[in-house]
Amino acid sequence: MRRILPTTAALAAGFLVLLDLFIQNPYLDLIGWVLTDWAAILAAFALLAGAYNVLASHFRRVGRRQEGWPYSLILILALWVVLVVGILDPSGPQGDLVSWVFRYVQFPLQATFFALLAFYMATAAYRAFQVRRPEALLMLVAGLVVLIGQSPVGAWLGEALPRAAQWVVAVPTTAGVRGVLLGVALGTVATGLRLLMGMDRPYAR
Amino acid sequence: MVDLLHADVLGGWVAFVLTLMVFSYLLGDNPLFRLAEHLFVGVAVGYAVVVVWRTVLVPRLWTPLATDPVANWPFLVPLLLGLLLLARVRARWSWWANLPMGFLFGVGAALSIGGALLGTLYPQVRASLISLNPASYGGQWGGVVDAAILAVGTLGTLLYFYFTAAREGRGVAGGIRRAWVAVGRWTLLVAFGALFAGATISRLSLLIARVQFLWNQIWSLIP
Amino acid sequence: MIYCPNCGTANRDGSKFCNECGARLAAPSTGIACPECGTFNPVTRLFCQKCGARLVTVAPEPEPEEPEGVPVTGFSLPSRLLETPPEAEAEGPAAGEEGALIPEWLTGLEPEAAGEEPVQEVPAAPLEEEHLPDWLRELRSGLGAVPEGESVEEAPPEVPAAPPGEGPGWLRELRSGVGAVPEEEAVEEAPPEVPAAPSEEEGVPDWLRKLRASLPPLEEEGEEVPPPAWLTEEGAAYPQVPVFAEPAVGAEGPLPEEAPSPLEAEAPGAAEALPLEIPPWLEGLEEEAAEEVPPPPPPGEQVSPPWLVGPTPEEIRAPGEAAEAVPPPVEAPLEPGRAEAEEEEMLPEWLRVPPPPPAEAVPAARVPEEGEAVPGEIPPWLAPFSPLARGPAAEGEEGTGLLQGISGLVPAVPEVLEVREEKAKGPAPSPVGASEANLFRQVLAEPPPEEPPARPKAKRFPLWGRWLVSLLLLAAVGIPTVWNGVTGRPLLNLRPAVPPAVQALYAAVEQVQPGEAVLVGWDVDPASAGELLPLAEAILGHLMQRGARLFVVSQLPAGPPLAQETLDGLARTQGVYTYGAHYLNLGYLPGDELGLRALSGAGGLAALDRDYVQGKALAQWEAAAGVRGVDDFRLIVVLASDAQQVRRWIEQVGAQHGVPLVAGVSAGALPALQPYHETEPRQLAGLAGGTPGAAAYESLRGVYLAGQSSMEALAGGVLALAFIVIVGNVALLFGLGRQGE
Repeated sequence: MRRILPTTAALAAGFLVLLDLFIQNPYLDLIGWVLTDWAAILAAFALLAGAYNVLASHFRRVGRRQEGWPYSLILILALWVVLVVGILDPSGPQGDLVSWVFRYVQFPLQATFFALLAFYMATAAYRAFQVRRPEALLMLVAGLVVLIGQSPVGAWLGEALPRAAQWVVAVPTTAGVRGVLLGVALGTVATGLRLLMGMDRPYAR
Repeated sequence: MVDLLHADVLGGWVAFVLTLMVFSYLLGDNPLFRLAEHLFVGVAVGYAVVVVWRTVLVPRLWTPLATDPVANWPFLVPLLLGLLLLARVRARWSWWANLPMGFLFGVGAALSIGGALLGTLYPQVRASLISLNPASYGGQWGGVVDAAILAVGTLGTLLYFYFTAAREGRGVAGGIRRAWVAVGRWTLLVAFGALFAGATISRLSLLIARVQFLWNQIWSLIP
Repeated sequence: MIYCPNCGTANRDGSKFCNECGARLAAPSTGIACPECGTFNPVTRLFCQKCGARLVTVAPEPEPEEPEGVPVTGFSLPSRLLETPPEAEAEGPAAGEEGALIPEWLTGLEPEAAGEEPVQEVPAAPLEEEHLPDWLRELRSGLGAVPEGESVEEAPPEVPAAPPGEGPGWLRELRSGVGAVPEEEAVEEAPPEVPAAPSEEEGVPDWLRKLRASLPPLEEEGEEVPPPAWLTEEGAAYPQVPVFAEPAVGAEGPLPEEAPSPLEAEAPGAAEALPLEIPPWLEGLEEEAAEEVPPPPPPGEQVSPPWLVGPTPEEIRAPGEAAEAVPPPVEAPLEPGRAEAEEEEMLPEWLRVPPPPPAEAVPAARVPEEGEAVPGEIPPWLAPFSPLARGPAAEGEEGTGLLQGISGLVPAVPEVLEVREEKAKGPAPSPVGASEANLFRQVLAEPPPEEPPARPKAKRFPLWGRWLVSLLLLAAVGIPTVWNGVTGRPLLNLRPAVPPAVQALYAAVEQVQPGEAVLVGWDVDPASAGELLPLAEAILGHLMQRGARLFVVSQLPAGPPLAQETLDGLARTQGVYTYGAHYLNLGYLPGDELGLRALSGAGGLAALDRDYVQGKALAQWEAAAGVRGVDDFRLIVVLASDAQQVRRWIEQVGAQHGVPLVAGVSAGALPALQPYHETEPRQLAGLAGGTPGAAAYESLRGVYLAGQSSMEALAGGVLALAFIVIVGNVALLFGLGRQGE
């Protein structure tokens, strides 16, 4: 029963939604929409489960006094403050305190974390673009053309470089990416069919 | 009542300090960075839960069931499925979540199949069917060349990922196949170069935005 | 590793639950460690999950219980070998000092007739001195110390058998008809008065003499006779005192409760009144005396009675026959008309010999092995008094051997030390396998080949190098930023190039008429805000300039507040736009493609029926008038940092509806979305990427906003990066490469 019921649910819901995608029928449309809407709401519950896991793992670290437990304590406190205030405040996430925390704590922290990537990109570019083989030269040339061509430097140098950059992006890059997209789409269809036929059951473990 | 102006001023300097704490990672891992890291995760997760609670769960499940449960009885199904899904957090009860997980996987797989077929496969394959007539490209032979490169490059990329293509076949056909696989590899190299360039510009833009913020904050001190 | 009992997945030690299926795992404290591979298995398993070895060793089967005679506990008669060593016989009483508990006076008894069944007995554990009655102790001390710890396996001394006509006088008297008195009487205190035995006193042991003297005159029936002392409390300390004087029914009362006799159950007939009678062995003796006159034993040689000697090899019967050879019990007392009866009557009840118990099925006689001690025979008159037959050896109790009856012994060889035979692993090596094995041996014997010099590992980028790169980048980006911030104008006044895709985007927005609804997919969060906010402001500002009604929906939890802040800022700039009348924030849409499909499905905006700012239903807002589903929108603008997110919009919304779709994405996602722009009809009507796209769009709009103001800093950063790449290749060219960084 532990496997039959989930498998039945997966197959039944999947086939109904798939039929809705290819067949125009008002009843199928309604059924497909309802099932999809319920699945979207379930995705919100999945986010709650993820939040619980984060909280539980850090609680465990604090309880066992593992390495870095004071940081985990700060994480737990910050989470609880935002959660409690946000739920109790009638304005919810638009409340004063929660908005302030989002604007002056979460935003600068998250933005700066990703800004650090620029420095790692630079240190990686030193070694990654060392031309050791002819193929690497091709990649280096294409990268530099697009990089400089899309920046104001290319426009400052003339029109040739920006147009070359545009051509590189529009033709060979599109060809390569299109091939990848086709392969990914074929794989997605195959995987989805395997799941809808019950050959793969990642949900029943 | 909180003074919003002072709250914004204070908040600006709080953001300034937090930004510097994260940039301190350039000097190496240190307690300031780790503090900022954990603070971010806590705030971000808490905020996400608040948004989900106030914008999805309460208005779409709780309110309809609380106001008129008889008329809104269908909302019981996602509510029960969602509660079963929460059992996933405990290993002992995780099997309870199999049913909602199965439902999610089924619907998601169906949407992925439909989207891939109708949204990517058909349009992209159709776009690869090129015309070698210059009239289709406004009389420009350059358009024909571009289209040919597009088609050849696309097929070469697909052949490149068909790993045995380069080894099969003998004679002229085998030679053409191997050459086509090489063309596919070159096409991918160019694409990777362009992708790297784009990612570099993206990261530089993020850095520029933070540097601008820091400078603006410092500049705000100057009357 | 701990293997899950449910799915078999390997989990780290210490895991309590399986990472794969969540089943509870056997913890080291509650599981069984495999003796072969050490893997912890649940306690319910018999075989290891990993290697298949047996977890629970099979204890050697206990030897089948062999039928033995009625065991005698506590008061064990000695046993002796069939083949008595000459030295033991020669020692005689000397050997007896360490040997049997049999007093000498018994050694003169005639061996029993061959017809009598030698009762096999199981030697009981030797007794402690304090457990012996006084009379026995006296016997021992008088006849020679007989340590109680004697092993029953030791050869007991042979007791010379008394010639038929010899022996103690009292015995002769008994033979001649005097009532017998069992020799196991225990008289600790002054025994009751016994009517003096007639005739001779010579040869009568002192205890018997005293016994007779202490015996009170026989009373008439019904009169109580006080029990002897050994039957009272003191005698109760010795629980296995043979209560041969079972109280007669109606004569004496029951035995004192302090001295429960274990023999009562065994001797059901003991409760009956039994007149004094000649014990059957005495009868047998008389008969034997008449039938058989064994030759006198050689001097110094003790002839043991048959019940001491045990069965001769010829007398040893098959187990099946042994049961049949049980002598018939004495059923009827002797005729009182005889002189013996008179003597019997003179003895108190407790001295009278009860009839032997009903014949019990004697277990099959076990053929003793050579060298093994043979249990002695118990005379029939003693048989009723033998202790309860021992049942099967209790668990943990030794059943045989020297330590019989003792429990709780530690096995000599612990089971864990048992050498388990190695299970044969795999089939026997074939000839081919043998040749391969030889080859393997040769390879092992050869010296290892010299390994080629290892390729030097790429050194990690040195710390000073990272600092240098960081400083260079900060300078390249910071200088134009500071200049622009200080002076308010660009450093070099560089005009960006406008790609065709950006022009198409601009053209698509230009086609939106005032009042038309535009759906904005806002997938910008703080992580990508630095790059996409300038592009979002440029496009949304253009839409506001066109007078479009904006509906913003986000699939990121942090998206709605950013979108609201951006729109509020643009609305303030516009001056005309107000929330609720011109733009609405529909909030968070969970589920990626699930939410998008729900949005584009039959229910339309029912999936987002309330706004994010005030939580009011859409129908209550002026801006939502006439908008129910995706088809009611004029244009869909997707702002995302991830190409996959835009692909979802294309597949789930754009492919299902004919509404034009444009995208403003990160510069890194731009090449990945170009194929969707290069289709006919275009799946993406317009496409702009990152800060260059924002600058290009602004230039098309003719405004100077954050996009263009960032272009000089971007140029500086690009130049710094190009410089780093060139330096890296120059270093490689001059051979520095990985070694000389």
